[in-house]
Amino acid sequence: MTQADLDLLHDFVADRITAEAFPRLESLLRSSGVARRAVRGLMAVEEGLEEMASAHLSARYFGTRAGQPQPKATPQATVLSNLGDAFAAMVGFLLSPAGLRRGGLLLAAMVVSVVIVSTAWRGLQPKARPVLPAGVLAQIIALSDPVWADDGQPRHEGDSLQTGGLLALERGLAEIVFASGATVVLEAPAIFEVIDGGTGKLVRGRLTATLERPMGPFAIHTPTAVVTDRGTQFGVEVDPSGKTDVRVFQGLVELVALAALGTAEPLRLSAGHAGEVDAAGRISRIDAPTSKKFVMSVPKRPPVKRALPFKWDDASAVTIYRDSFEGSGPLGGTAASARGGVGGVKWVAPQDGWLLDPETKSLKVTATGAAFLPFKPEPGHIYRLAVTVHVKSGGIGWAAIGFAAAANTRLATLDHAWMLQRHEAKAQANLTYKGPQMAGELSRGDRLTGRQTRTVVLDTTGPRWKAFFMVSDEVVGQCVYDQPPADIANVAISVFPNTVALLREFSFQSIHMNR
Amino acid sequence: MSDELHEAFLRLFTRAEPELRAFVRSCLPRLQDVDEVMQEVSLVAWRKFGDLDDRGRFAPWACLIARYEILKYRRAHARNRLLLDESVIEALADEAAAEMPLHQRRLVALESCFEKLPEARRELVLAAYTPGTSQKELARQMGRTEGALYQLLSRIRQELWRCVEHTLAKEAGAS
Repeated sequence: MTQADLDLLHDFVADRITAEAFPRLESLLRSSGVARRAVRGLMAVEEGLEEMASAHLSARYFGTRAGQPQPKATPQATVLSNLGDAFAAMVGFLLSPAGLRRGGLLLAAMVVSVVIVSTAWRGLQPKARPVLPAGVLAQIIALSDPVWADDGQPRHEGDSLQTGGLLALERGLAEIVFASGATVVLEAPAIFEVIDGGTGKLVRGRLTATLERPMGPFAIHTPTAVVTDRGTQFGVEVDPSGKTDVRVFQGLVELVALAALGTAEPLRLSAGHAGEVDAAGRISRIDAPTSKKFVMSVPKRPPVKRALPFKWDDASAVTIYRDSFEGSGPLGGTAASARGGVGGVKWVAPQDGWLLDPETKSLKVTATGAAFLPFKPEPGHIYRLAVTVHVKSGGIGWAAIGFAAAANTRLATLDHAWMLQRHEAKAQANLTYKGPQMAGELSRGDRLTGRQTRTVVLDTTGPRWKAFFMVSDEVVGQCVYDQPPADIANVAISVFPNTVALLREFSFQSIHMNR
Repeated sequence: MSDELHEAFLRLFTRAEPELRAFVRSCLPRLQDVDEVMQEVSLVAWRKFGDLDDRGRFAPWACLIARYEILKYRRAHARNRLLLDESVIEALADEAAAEMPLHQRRLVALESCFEKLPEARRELVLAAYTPGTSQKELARQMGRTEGALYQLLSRIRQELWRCVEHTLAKEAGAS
């Protein structure tokens, strides 16, 4: 096999094959067993590296040595070994290498939650440090008079931050705690991004980072540098050119120019010392002026209940669908209007296990899948989709509402702006998704179970559509779409395999805001 | 189905899932395709689990289901996507099924090969594969073009693949 052949196979494995090269690839794979074996080998490399990177990430939370995955234990096995068998089986069912990659942070979430719930780690939790909800990479724990940039997302105390979570702070202070145990006090004007549970990026502005009792390594990236914390307190300032100043208040940090990452020895800075990486990537020690003050903490305030940023007026709302789910027999093929509700369109639902239950006066779901009613969103509206959910059994199994493209009654995952509620949310919190499917996960903080009214609000009034996820009257998450999700064609309810859920009081309303 | 059956299924599926996934992926490299097929495989396997007489044969049985689901998926999507011809997929699937026991050994060999990489390369690989990392952003941060970063990662992957194959060949020679 030639190098060109190998490159071709590699492009295929990396999903970078072009239409022009595809016939040659097919011909090679058809005629050569060696090439087919190479594809399997390269695919195993790809998969193994994904697992190692996830294990590396998990190691930050476990405290094991970074870059040293256990030789014979996959991350799944590591998780499973910490769980009871039955629950482990369910968790394992959910975990997969792609899951590790797409939502590898989801894995970290489960890993963290499982370990914290289990044994020794509980004793290692520093008492003074806020404990993050399972799976949260970082969380805003305090704000002081914040003003957010017009093009940035407004943030609130308690907001969970996932990879890519951006804070564009024009005025005020924000304090963020990371899963690694580090806290960052961000001082406006600043732009800061969460990379993972142990890494943040300061694009511009000033911060103070503190890592007193680390659960894993912590680093701050800037446009020109990487500052790695070795258990300390330090300040970082990035000016608009990208020039990075680092001052060490306690302990030790390592500073390296980004362009030299992995190739040059880092500059080690101890307490009272400072370093700089200029816009061209040149690194040097500097004299730290004592006049420059870094803010070390944010004054704490009592938490405020979060509400929608606009008023929902029931009197102005038009009901598109309302279904009490009273009656008996299968849901599929029936319309809400036949049982006194609103909407003459018939539900598209699984044939089995989705039954109107006269005893509980609810839709009783005992089989996985989803039920749909057609809906095409239009600009200028606020849509409100609500249902009362009670997941009766299923452990981490769930019921969900949201928006969907095609009406695939066998798929439990939905396509856009969907939220789920579990039977048990101790080990794994309830999630909200921007979509498609399980991509764009937003929030893991809500752990409410039992009977809850869950609502998804879709705001199509601006050029960037927004979705808000609510439990009762409190917003638990939100997202913004850069482009309107054009393929929404249904509203939907879905239920995960091996879960029993009761659903009541389904409603879907809209308010035309531009009238 | 009973709780016992349910638990047995989950236990067996959990154990076989990495190999099944690798099997599917060897025919469909795109992760989204793999996810969709795996979801179908799990649902079909669950529905048919009551018919499986010998639970010791769960993995090959599930592999047959996966093979069918891969081909079904290909038929549904081949018109507007770059998916391999059915005969090529069948050849890949047949060989991948025979090689399933090799999967775990490949991963173990990979770990030792990975450890042999220079530290800077290990760091680069871990950074590139960390969930949520954008290669475009990583390239930008490193002051390289995205194409140059892809080429570098491609060389590292191929180097690792050669090392894994060499390790497996040595193991086979020693046994």
